[in-house]
Amino acid sequence: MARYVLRRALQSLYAVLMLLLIVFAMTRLTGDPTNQYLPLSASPQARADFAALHGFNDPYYVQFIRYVSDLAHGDFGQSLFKQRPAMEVALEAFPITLTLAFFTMSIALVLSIVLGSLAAMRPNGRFDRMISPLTIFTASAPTFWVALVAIFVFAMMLGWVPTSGMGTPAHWILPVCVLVLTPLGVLTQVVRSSMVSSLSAPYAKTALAKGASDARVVFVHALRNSLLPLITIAGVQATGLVNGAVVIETIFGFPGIGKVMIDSIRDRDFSLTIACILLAAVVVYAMNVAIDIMYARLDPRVQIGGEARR
Amino acid sequence: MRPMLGRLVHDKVALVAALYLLAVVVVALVAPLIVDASLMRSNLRLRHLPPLHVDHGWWYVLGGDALGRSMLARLVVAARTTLAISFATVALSLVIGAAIGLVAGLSNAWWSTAIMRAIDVLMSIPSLLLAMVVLFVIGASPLVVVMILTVTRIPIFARTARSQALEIRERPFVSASRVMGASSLHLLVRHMAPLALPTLFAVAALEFAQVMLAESTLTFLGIGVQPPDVTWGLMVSDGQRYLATAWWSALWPGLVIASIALAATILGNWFQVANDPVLRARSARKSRAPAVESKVASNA
Repeated sequence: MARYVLRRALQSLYAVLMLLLIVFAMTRLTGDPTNQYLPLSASPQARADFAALHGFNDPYYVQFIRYVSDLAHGDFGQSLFKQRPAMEVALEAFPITLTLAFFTMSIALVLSIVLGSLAAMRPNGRFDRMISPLTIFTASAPTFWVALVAIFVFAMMLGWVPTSGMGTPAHWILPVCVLVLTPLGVLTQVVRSSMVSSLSAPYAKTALAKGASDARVVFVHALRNSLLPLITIAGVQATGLVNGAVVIETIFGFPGIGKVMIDSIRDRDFSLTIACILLAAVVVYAMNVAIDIMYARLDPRVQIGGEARR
Repeated sequence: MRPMLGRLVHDKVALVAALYLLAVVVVALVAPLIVDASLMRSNLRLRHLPPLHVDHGWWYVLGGDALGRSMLARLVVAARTTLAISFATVALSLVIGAAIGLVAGLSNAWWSTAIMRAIDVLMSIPSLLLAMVVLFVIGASPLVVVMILTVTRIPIFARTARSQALEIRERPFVSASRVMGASSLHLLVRHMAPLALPTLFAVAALEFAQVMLAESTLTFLGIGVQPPDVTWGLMVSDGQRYLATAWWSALWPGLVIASIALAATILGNWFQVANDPVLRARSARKSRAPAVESKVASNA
């Protein structure tokens, strides 16, 4: 078990390093940051001093090695735009995104289990025929557009909730509701289809024949076996939440990590961009390892390590 | 192809989705013929013309945008760019991904594993983050958008193709062909590819929806397609500013994106079921309603 976790962690580390290299190379290609930060009237001398101070004159590989060695010392560089340590800015914004993601995933998981199970109890029944098209729709509607429509209807026309910004709990309602739609749609489909096959398995029929209630068979017997695909896809969806959070935070003016990321790219703020992306990536990879462990715990058939589970 | 068409006619929902997509593609193809240049010029008298009446002709039935251009005409023109980008992306990633996956599936050599590990790494990078950085560096143009989206979509096709190849290569007729001295290339082209293609096409239809959503999102955030090119995502982004005064300028393009993504997803799901005799038998026994089991893992 420990060896397996270690191996997965090493794989993730490798992935993070690859990502780091790509992102670093890319951000250094965006053009000379000195032009971004100094006024047009700055003297050539001032420009040269600025570049020398931040090390923009050195060859790229020197900059990269210096950057990685700084990382190893826990130094993520200075945010040029905010004049503060980059990781500090990123960590400050992160709890907001994390809270957003936590509420979204909790709601999506609980609702999808309930809706998917109810739909699977009578495949092609009335409830199923209502829910299934709905889930396809929520999974294929563009998040940014749903957010705009929701703002227009619920904030502007009805005035139930504020349009954007944060502060009161009411500010969270609309963003969470919009963000939840895509994972909810996808996860409900997953629960439904795996529940349909679980319910047609012999053990479910046996339980029914022995007099167990519908609810007991669904939520006690079949649900445990339907959880595996749900967990896998929930992990994928959680990664996708990073994408969704960028959109939602931009539209609703949440100062979370997605908004910081977009702003930092616009400001050509290298260190901050990399700090944000690294932070997001590390959390995603940590979650993937956690999901693998959970998967093995839930399903004794899964042999940890190797290709056995595919 | 004949039996597929027959099955399509029997599934009303999938048929409607297919006809809708076909209609949109036709409109996009003939756009330059039907859209008059005058409709695309700004006309301040028609600025934010309310929709749903035809006082200014049918072209203004969906209203006017902030510069008084016909929303309908803009939608038609944007259809070209949006569909072209999505189609090119899906086609490219299908070809490249399938080639990688089939080759990796044919062999047990170390490099086959190495390729798939690299694909895993690629897949684990949140696509929007990668796209944001790349687009900002190279500059946003439709071509760059296609390139970056292709890179983020290759893993899905590669994985699907590989799992197909792993299964197909164990079938007796493939072994027989190998024993008779067929080359690897022959095996790939004649035996593996034709059998893997239907599954890959089903994935492609589902991916089409995802790619269109990804392109719209990037463009909406201001880092995708830039004016004067126009896509539906850009139109939503333009309309966002006038949400309070002219709701229609953001509503229609988003509605088009959503409906096309929906149609492509329905068609992809249907194709998957129609291609798989097991799934087909199961859904036929229960009822005629379409199954919604889908390759849901694809939109990360």
